[in-house]
Amino acid sequence: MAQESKLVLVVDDDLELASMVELLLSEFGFRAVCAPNGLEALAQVSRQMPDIILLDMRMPRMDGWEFAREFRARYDHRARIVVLTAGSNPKKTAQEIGAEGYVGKPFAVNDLIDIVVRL
Amino acid sequence: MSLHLVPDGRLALFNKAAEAILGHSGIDAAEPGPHPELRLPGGAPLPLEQLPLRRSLRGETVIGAELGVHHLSGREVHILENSAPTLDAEGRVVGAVLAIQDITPIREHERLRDEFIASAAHELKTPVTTIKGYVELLRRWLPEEREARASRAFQIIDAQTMRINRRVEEMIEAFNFRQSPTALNRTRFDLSELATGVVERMQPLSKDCRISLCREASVPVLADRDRIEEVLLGLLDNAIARTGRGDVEVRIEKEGDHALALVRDHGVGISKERQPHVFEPFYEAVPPGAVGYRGVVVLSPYLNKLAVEQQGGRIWLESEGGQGATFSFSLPLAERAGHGSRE
Repeated sequence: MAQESKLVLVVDDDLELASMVELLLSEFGFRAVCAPNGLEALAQVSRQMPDIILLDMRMPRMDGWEFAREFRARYDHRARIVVLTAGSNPKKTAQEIGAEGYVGKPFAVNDLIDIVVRL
Repeated sequence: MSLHLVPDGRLALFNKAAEAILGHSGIDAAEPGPHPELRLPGGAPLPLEQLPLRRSLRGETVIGAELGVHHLSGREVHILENSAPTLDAEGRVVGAVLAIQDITPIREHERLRDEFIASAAHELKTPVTTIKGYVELLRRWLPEEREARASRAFQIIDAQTMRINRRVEEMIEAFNFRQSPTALNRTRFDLSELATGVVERMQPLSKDCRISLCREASVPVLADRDRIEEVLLGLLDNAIARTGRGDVEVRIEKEGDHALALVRDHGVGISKERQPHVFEPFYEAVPPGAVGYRGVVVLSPYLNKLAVEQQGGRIWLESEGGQGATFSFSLPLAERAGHGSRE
């Protein structure tokens, strides 16, 4: 798959941050959509399966842990999950939920783009 | 409150205040094995021989030992113990006295403060991320001819955002350390070589300040390289801030069985009144308005102290009025600590 066509779903309850990430991804040639919590992310996924899900962990209604469980149960590994968290140990969180990658907040733009390109 | 023991460990006196704090009417210091109701800070059982009263029965005076007590009501009580031997006319130990202070409200207050700081720090990370992202976007969106003029502004926004982020990281690190000290990844490395790298990294960022490095050829230590690098970076960063325009000196040498690192600035120095508090959390060595003032949330000297002491070293400050300040730390040399392998 050409990287330009990759679709990234940004799941974060901070809308300003989510739109910034969406804009950044568009700048680098990716398609991006946003969802403010796990529930809406599941609805979005059922309409269109993304290639990569950038997942915040602490969110209202359905948090990142519950979303990851639900997503894997329903769709297995049809999309790669990248943890995007302000928590103190993003790597450990990624291992806990079986994510393919992680990016800590605040991130360097290159780190975010690198992981989206790589996965 | 007080307890009084005779040499075989039997209690001679146990007053009402002691009963109220401990939740029972006496601890028998003669009882063998770890006492089930007393714990060290962190939760490990307290071996009987470390009980302050026991130590005082052996002739030792114990000041400020902190213990956790499992109160019979089910709650945890934090106590501070001071104990001393009682002697007869010939100087023989005939008993021991113990004074206990309930410091549970103080520890609870500290816990709430730490939790608040950690939670506030985590909250700050999200807006910092958004600002950093938009700076990058603005860089890309601005036409090239305007980019040069805007470049300086972006650099400042970037640097200031990272400064906020450093403080946030420090707050979280301090909180995490107080909850449970992080595991060390000790390796054998050359402190001189590490300092060379740190100076090379910092010099381009400090245009008005010349950093000189004086180092012995090889100063091997057995320590957590990343944490010691952070300590050196932190000391150098603060020294540069206090100096403003001038020289900062870094010296790495061996002294006896220790490695010694020294960072000397040529700022206005740190006043005698402030010196004893420099390594306390949130204490700013330099008064507001003076060169090198870093704001109210100052944690790096405190974190440096934790990092160095956790690795068997010591950190200290020397400063005479108007003569700059010298921060030094020592670490055991690798030869003394044994050779090489990871712990």
